[in-house]
Amino acid sequence: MSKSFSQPAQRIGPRPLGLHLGLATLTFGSSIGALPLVREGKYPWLPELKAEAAEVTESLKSFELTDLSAALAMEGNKRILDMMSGIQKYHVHPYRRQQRDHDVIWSLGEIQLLDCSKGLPDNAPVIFLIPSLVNRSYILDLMPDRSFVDALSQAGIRPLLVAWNAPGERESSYTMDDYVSSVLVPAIDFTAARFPEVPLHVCGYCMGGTLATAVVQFSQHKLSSFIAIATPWDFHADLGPAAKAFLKNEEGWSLVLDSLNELPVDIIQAFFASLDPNLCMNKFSMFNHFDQDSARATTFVALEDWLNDGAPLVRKVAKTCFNDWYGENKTVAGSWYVHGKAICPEMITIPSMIAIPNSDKIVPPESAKALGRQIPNATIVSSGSGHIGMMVGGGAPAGLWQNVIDWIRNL
Amino acid sequence: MIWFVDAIPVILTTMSNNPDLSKAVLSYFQLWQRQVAAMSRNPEAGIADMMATYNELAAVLSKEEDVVTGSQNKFDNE
Repeated sequence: MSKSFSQPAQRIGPRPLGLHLGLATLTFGSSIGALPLVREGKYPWLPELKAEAAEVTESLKSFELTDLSAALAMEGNKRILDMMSGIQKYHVHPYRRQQRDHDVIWSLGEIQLLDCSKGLPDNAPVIFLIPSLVNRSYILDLMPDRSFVDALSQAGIRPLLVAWNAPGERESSYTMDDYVSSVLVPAIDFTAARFPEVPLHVCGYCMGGTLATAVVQFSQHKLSSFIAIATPWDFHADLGPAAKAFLKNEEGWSLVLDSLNELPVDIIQAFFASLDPNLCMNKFSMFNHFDQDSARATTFVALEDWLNDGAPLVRKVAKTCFNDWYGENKTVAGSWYVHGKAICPEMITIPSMIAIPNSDKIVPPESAKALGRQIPNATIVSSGSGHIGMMVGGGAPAGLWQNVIDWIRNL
Repeated sequence: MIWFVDAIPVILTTMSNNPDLSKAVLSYFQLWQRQVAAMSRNPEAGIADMMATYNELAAVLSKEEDVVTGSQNKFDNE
């Protein structure tokens, strides 16, 4: 039995496309609208930008408003046309993810446990990888030379990857408890029985690390170590008030969840887009000028395909995220209950490594550090990269991947 | 869009003749993007800052208006 990741025949990203195009147009249009005030030094810049704004204002004063308006219109149109051309090039790019046939060694409903090793003996140490529920697991196996699981396998470590896949009928009624107690803990039990007497490490990435924390508390007697990568734990750390307001607005998001029985991918993506409304315009404008046959263009497309290939979050799980995690921050308070037990990282006694990307905009570093503070004697490793860059960026092989390999070898 | 495409060579010529104009506009647009991003991350604080500054501006403009109105009244009276 093997599992191949599928790839959509037609690209529809960046998702949601209408939102991204609207944000770009809005940013450009508002810059033109504000230009007269800015040129007169009367625009209320945010405090952190005021010094730089004063210099910009001085330079603008050297020119007539009509010339500035024409030049700004040119610049804005150029960027939007660049972005749209970049999106078109992305849509027709010939790259398609290579089929990766990994053995499915355990499954439940739509969820599979993939053995991503290549020809390793049964006595190879095992790392049990838990990715986020809202993105596809293949971020850990993106493409040749950008594959964490390949690097682990080449280092003699057997990577077992949880592939959540899109929730099916069985998973549609799952709670967070179910994902931990009915899926992950039994999968760990299976793994420990299938590979007895070899070190078994659990590694969670992003939200998968939060789930893994609960799993480790329950199953640590079977484990050699715990690795948490870019894992949110203090959900109020550096969380903007707008996000807090959105997450606390139960009436609003309950309407979506109760009518659709899930949090759709496009809403999740819209939330990420709100973290930086310029990101789409900037990155696709840049992509427009890439040599489309180059390696960096291919990597861009592979990553963008993954970003747009998310999975919805089922209703009860989304409610736990919003209410218990982001709303009440129960994880830090030790009041997040799974299977009737409070999850307390202080109770984790096996060696633990917390990997923190310091430029993470999705999981603020302070949120991840909180887990490191609560687990006794946790080892903290950090890098200057971002949330995704830490896993698949150019620095990943010598950075995170090597850190994990060294950690397992040296235990 | 068509009118604009037709106008591109003219505008490009203007801009290429004046690299300082191009540089000034680019600096402004990049700063504007940062303002948008910062406000998006923390819109309530951003709006509060903007309102405070707008109130200061309104106060200044109101004084200027008083002066102008006063002059106008004086002129009318004369």
